[in-house]
Amino acid sequence: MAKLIVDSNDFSRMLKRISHEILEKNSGPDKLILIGMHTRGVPLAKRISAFIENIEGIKIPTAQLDVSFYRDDTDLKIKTDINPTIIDLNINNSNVILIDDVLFTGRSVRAAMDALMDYGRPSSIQLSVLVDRGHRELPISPDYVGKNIPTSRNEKVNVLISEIDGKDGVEIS
Amino acid sequence: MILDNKLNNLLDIDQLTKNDILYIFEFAEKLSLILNGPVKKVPVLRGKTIINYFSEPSTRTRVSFENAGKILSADVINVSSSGSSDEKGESFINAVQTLESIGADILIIRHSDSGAPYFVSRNIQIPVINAGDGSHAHPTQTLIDLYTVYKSIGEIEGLNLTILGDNIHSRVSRSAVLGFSTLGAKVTFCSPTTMNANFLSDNISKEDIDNYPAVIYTSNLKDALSESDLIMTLRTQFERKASLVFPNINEYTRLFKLSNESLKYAPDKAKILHPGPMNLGVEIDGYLSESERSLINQQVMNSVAIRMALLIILIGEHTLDSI
Amino acid sequence: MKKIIKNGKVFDGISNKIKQQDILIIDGVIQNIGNIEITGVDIEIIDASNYIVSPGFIDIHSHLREPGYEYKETIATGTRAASKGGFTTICAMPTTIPALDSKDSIDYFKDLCQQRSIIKVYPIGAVTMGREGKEIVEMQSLVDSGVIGFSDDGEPIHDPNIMRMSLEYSRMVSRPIMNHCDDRGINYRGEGVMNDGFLAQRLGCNGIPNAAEASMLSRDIFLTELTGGLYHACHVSASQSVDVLKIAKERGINYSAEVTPHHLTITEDFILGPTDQNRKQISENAYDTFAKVFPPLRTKSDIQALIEGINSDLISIIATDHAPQGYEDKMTTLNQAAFGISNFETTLGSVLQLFHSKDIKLEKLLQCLTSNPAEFLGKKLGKLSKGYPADIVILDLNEEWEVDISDFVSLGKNSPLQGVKFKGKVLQTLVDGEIVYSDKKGHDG
Repeated sequence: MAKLIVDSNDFSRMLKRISHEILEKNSGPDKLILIGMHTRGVPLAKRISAFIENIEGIKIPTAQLDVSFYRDDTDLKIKTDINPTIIDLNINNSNVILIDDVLFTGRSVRAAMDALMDYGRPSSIQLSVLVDRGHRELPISPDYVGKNIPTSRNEKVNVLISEIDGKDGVEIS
Repeated sequence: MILDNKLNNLLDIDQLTKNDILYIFEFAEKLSLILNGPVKKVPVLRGKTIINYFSEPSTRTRVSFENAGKILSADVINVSSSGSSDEKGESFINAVQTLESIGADILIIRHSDSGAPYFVSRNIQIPVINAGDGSHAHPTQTLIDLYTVYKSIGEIEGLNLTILGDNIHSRVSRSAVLGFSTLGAKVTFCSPTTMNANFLSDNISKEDIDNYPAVIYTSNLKDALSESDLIMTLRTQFERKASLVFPNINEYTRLFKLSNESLKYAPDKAKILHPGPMNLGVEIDGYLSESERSLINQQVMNSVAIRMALLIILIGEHTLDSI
Repeated sequence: MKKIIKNGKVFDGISNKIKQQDILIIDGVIQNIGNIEITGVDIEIIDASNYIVSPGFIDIHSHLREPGYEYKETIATGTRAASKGGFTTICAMPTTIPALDSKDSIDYFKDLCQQRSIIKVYPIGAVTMGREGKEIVEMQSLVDSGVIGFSDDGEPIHDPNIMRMSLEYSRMVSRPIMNHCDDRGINYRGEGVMNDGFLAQRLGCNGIPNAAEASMLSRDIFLTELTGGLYHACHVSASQSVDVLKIAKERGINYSAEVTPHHLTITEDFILGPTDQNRKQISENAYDTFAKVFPPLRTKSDIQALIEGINSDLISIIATDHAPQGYEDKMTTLNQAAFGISNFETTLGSVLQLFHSKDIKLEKLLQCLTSNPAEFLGKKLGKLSKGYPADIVILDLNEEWEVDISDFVSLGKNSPLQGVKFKGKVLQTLVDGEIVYSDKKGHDG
């Protein structure tokens, strides 16, 4: 039975806070690129971009990244829905913010960094996640976290986002 | 989505169900995103070694496999028969077993003897892909042809495929019959009687009628093209002239060449396929291969994505997961 | 030295009826046959109750490979394998190096047999020098050296003039020309590797059509009519060939013909592998080189025609065409592999299938393996009768066993029958009254 632990209002507040933190840490929106990790990172990146535009009046470029082919865990599943990696920007010397919904083992983030390196050489890569549920297998820690949710390994954390799931929220089951 | 049968090798299309073929297409579709992106490299097969063992000259198939392997970050070694052990008297099987011991993860085999990949496959542990064996089979080419048609026309069920030319010596045609029939197309052979695999078409016995897809044969080009949705012209194999299969090229081209003129027999929507390499002016006129009717360039472009998919399916860790 | 074989069901090769009898052997010769009451201390008794006792089998067509190809087979291993299969006399084709085309090479071969063979071996001479189809051998001198016939087996005699002349000449030397019929012009210039038809085209292999055999056989049959020569058709495999023989018989043309155990019992489907013979989906085991044989394995309807050929006496001899090959001869692609099946040790099991299936009577099968080939040879062999050499085989018709090629005594392990279950086995083989093979003790008995 799924339990709602973040409702849509809190969800929105978290994203807004993250937007402010990103601006603060990078001293403004210059040279920022938001890259959403497929699947739910993509709309999250667009939301954050919109918040920043509201705050600063400047539109931050976004891109999307599919890391299926870069993952190193065995028994990999490649999702069949079409989710092209679209990085048509020059990421050299920019500050890339990787955006994902849930941070768990850290393997997708590792894969994402590998993939990014194939596309160019950013000045920095930062990581923003909506939920950090622990159980890291790699030395990776996020720069921006919406909410830390301690979980056991066999629990499932589902981030819902209205563009895909029809509503915003975080569930645990 | 999963394969109906676990694939340990790819020897011919008869190993695949319709579902398997669609699975390979979906995989290839996904992989063509890499081909169309700015960085044509992913580490999916990093640390794997692919050996192309080609004992018969081939450029396009070998390069296509090589490129597929390299895009996936595998190490690709090309072994061709000139300069290989074949000429030093080492037996074929020893050469192949040596390649396995050296650490190959998969062997891609092209051989002039029908069945050579079957013989190799049962004598080594690693997967084998048949990249063309004698007159027998060329399954990857057929998957490419099917994928090309699937992408440009869509549904293959119910299409009429006319295979034009020397089908008796053609591995492409044998695999095409199996593949296109599996996806529900109807196949017609058109050739001089001397170039027709008649035991597979008009002369098939009652006992074998269930063992092979129904193939129609005609030596009349007009009849063959009149309801065609797809026209596959085969390469005329001059090197097999020993069998004296037609009197001379003039007579052949007059009766069987695909030209603007003969193409008028076919419906306007009919598309042209050719597995290459082409003898321009013999089985097909050069301008047709460049025309909008032709899928020939797409065949070449799709070849890498299909071969990448097969490499991942046979030696990679990835599987497709539909959500 | 006296031996008596008691209570066996005896096929004597004369009456062609099987009845319970005893056989008394003194000094390697059959002394008496019937119901024999005998006592004494110096007599060895072999109890054959419930078993078949037959003249030892006679094979008029085999390849011993020595001299020249000792890695495929030797006279020692080949004759031991033959005795395990119940053969007491075999004839060796001249497919040796040098070919058996001269008095010297035949004398040498006979010397080797003297030393190494455990059964009776007769050489077959080549028809042409080096089996090259160009120049006829000194046939009379070869007959004087002991050849029982002439053949370029493996190489069909293509030149019609050579065929005609050797047939003419055979009348003088009184020994037959044994031709391997295959018209290369029809058989992809000799590049065929299997039976022509659906399966060959499905597998993309060059096929050897029945017509390649039957057309040359017709030529030979009419040349035989023309010349009055002595003609023998080797390993007939095609139904059309049986039709040609029917015409020959109707016209009163004198010929003899043989068929092999494999052409009588297994089809081209064995090319698909020993077990999974699925013509629809070709398995990894397909292109099985052990099933590559020349003439090729054919179809069910050919088998049916060959069985009728035996039952109607158009074909009177079963010959093995035992063709042992080395590991590397077969460990390659179907195109490159050598032809041939190692046959001595499975012949009986194979042909008894036809008895168990009631396609051919036991007596008929035994005639084709004993008295008929003996008649072909014109030797005092192949019968159990007073004064005949005690070349005898004792058979259990009902023992079931499974072929395991690694158990073969022959150096040639090339049999497509691996794992096939047979009913019927050789228990003992005697040559000139001596036990050369026994199922329990092998060749040491």
